[in-house]
Amino acid sequence: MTDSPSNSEAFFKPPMGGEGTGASMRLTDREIVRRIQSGEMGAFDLLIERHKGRVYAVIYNMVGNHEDAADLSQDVFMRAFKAIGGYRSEANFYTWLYRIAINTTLNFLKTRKESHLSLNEWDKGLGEEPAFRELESLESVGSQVDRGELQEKLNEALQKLSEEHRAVVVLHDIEGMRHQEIAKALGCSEATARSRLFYAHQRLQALLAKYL
Amino acid sequence: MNCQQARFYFSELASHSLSDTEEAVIRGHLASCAECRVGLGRVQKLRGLLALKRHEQPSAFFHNTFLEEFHRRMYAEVAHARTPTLWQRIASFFDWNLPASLLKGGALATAAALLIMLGVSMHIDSISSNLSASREYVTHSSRSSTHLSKPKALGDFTIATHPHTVYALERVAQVSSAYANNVLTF
Repeated sequence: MTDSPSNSEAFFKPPMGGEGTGASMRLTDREIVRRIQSGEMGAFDLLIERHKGRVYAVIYNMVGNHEDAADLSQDVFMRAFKAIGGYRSEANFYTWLYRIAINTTLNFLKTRKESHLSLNEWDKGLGEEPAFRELESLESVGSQVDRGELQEKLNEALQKLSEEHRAVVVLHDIEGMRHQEIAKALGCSEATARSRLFYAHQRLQALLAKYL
Repeated sequence: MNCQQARFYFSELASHSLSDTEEAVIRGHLASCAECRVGLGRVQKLRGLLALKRHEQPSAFFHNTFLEEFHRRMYAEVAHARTPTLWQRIASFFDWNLPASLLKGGALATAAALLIMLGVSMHIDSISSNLSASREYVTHSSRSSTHLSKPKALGDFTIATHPHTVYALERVAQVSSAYANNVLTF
């Protein structure tokens, strides 16, 4: 499936042929993909709504820049839309989508000439996190955690990792993926993913010693 | 299991993603190794710290406009795709609805035929120019045996004097440059 006009035009039809949103939201990714592959292109909207947050988060944590992450997220869904005809359901849809996201991001990072952090705001849930409360008990941090500084240090530390190591940290420690899924998303072996994570952790422990 | 092997699994142990058997082996090692217990504690703290990044969220604007922006980009791409390239315009002129392989072969065969035509045309021109030169020579010879004009050389041929050849050459050049630029889409 490519960007042929007929397919793209179908995309602009209302999703799921007028079915209610509730019924649509109960569909699994595979069922939605099956509908898309049978010509109901509007169903792709559901996949976007379902996965845009996580795709964005992966890219944002890789590039450390909100504007680039938003732009690359669009590219990822555009590529996924064009390639979805060739998707086979042996892999989870989100693993397949993450693979596109990671490849798109790695290609972008290779060509990026200069980088600067452009960070999102912390949400209200941060103060509730046990890990955040624990920070306040650390002598090196003090009872009033400087949230801005913490955010900057975290992001700077991540950016100091190699792209391959950063990808494993983002997928495992932030996105909560298992090594088996990470290996599929990155196109490497589980042992490689495990090894990269180990060395990335060692480096991060050194860079974030103040907070540990 | 030694310390080095065990440390590769600390992160998975902390995220409870090991199988029961694997977890039992690692915990067995931890029970007898104080250094690895400290190492596991550090990994757990680091994971807690990194997990805070889940609380960095884009604005509501991002969520509200993402799909709309996707549709806008898709529309722009479709509009761009509808602007025919030079080759698409040429191909639409010969819109025979043939398979891509046949079209490609046809284009190459056409280019080859045009080149042959060009070669034949050049050959005929050279013969005719030689003939006319010979006639001229004969005429001059009959009029005056002292002033002989030179026969027209083969190299005097210029494609500019043959509009059909110019057209053919341009066509071939367009096709080959389109191949070079990967413009052709079969």
